[in-house]
Amino acid sequence: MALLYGSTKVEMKENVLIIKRRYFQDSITAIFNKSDKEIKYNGQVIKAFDYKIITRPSRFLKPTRSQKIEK
Amino acid sequence: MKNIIKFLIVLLLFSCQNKKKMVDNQQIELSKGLNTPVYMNRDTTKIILSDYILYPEKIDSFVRSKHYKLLWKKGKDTLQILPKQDFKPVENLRIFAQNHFVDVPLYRSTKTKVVFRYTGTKAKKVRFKSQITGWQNADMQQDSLGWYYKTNLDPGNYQYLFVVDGKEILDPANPKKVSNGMGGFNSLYQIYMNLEKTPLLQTDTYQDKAFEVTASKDFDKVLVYFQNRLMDEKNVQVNGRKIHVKIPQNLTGETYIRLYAYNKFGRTNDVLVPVIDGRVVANANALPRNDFHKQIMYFLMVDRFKNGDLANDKPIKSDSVLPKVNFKGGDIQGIVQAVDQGYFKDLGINTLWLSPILKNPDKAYGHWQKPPTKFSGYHGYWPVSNIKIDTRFGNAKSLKELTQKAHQQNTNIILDYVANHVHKDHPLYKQHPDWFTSLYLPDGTMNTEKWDSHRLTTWFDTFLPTIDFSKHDVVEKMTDSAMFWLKNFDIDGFRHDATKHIQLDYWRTLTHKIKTQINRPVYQIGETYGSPQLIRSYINSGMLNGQFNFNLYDAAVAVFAKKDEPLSRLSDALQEALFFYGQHNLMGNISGNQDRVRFISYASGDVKFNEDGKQAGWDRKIVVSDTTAYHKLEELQAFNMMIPGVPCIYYGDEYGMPGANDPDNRRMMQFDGLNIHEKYLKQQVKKLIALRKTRWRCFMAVPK
Repeated sequence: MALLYGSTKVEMKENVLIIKRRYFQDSITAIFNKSDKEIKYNGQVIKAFDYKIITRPSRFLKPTRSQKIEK
Repeated sequence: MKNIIKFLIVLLLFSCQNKKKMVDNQQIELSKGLNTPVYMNRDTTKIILSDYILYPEKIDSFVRSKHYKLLWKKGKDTLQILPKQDFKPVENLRIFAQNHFVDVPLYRSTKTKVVFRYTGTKAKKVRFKSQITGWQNADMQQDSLGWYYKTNLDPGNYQYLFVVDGKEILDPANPKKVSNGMGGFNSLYQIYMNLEKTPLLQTDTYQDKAFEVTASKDFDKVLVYFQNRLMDEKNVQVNGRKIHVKIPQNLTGETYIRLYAYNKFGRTNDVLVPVIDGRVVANANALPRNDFHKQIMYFLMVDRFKNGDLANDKPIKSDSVLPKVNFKGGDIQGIVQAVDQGYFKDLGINTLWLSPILKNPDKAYGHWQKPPTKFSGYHGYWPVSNIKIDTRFGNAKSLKELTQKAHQQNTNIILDYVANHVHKDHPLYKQHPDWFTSLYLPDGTMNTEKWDSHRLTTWFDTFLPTIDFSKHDVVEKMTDSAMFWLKNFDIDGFRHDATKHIQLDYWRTLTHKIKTQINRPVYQIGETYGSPQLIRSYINSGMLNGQFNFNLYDAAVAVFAKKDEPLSRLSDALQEALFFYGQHNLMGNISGNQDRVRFISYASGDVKFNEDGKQAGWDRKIVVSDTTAYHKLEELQAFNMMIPGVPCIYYGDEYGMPGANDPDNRRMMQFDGLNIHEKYLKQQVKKLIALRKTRWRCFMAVPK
């Protein structure tokens, strides 16, 4: 449902595009990494020129949680 | 002056602030579907009332507001809204008719004044050319500082050039530029949205009869709509940044609750919550087939998909037509077979868009020089009838069988409908030549392919007369032809060809007929190449549900296919799309279409961005010579599945069919014999579709 009716937040950091969708309990985050280096996002590794989609219950994606990109 | 005052007095409406007693819960169909917000101008905004209420002649009055004035004459379909200085980022317009009312959200103008100034070397004549001007040369003005072009613009990304003494150049004072997709660059002017200062609304928790929305920042006011009415304040409780919404009681069927909020910096995102039988929908499987937000669309070219009936094969027998542009035998029966075999169900597709099935000519037309060939009407876009199915594609029986079987699999069928033009052999052109625009302009030159300078009259080719929709009688007749398909077949909507070349009257008349004569949801999506402003001008509750977002597609193609194109271009285009069309838009986000070089062929480098894509397909065999292109196409598909709108897969893009531009991008569909890369891509696309359609509770990453 997050991809059908969710709110959308778009973030752009250093050639990494993050799209967050959320609808009640459903949260989905897509990370597109166009940098030439591997990055980490919330413990997930995203290779250079690759993408990853992470879905999880929303309690793990509260806005208060720090979600910085680690190079 | 006296007359004007008299006129204003007559037109100004009386307040209906305390009309609660007039409103009851009795269901009266004043409107159908959700009323879309009005995007206001900085000054007077004229709206067409029938976009928001089915029978404007029944309107009694409007609620007067402190923040705007209204000008209206009873019985008329137009209303002028004059915003005052204190007009808030979101206001409400309440329309009363026969003791009932509907509400319409009004968005304050976000336009700012912009001056493009040429600072280059001295010139005799400088002109301005941009998305804003439809890429037409526009005159610039001159002052003591030189040449300038003044306009009002919404936040967004604007590409432009200066034409200095006939020569196109980038803005010498602006270092920002963006590739134009043809090997060159355009200057880029960006107006950013106020996203850092306005809150983001997110649905938070829900119970049986209520839900809560949280704002990321403080806000001044929230407007909550149930269907097309503002909800009573007693059902909406605001506590700090939390908004608690009680769902109205005794509801049946699918309904919607919408929220819009604002602070002093602007409006928030829109929130849309589907409610079925009075409960928040939390599972996509609970949504009905024709909830158009859940669509995964698949565009197939009927002649090139699957040949299900060899008996109706009838290619044009002529040496002047090369096989690539002749009928290849695909038909509706072939699509029925694919449905029966579970091809679409297995992939996760739930809406099929069929290329036009209207009867096309039996002869070849047009001309290509290298190699010399004429073209058949295999694509279906040259109708010689508006109500007959071409026998090479099928018949009424096969279309009915297709819709029935597709619906059994919860799949919608939408038809590609060509209204803008007919083929010259169409009887209408012979019977009513006055219903068509002239092939010649007043200066004697031919009016063909003048897409922007003569948008509403230009002919696509000398054998394709354009219908003159400036005549309302013609609009009535032609919309009746479109209605024929909805009345005689259980189809679920239209993809409308050449939308921007047809007068607004056509879209409004057709949509009104659909709303008043068809008792089922109908999805309408248009095809318009142009600025977001132009594209949006056809989208509202009285016209189309959405259009294909070619601007976003152009950015996605450049970013995912080219190594050096920064992702920020795609981010900017996505933000622009969300701003212009809303977070719950029904725009089509394509992987490709019948008029573009296949994405994978750009991504693999087999077709260059700066070459003639059509000629490339004639000159050489286009293959996928760099297999990393499959991954790039997967990224594009993933992007389309992640964003608001309707993802639309062009047939073959689920496995990476290569192809240059038309006609090479219209090869026969391949069902078997896929190579390892194609099989892998198809599997990934299937997973991405499943991800969009289903609710995954546990932590999961799309497997690589």
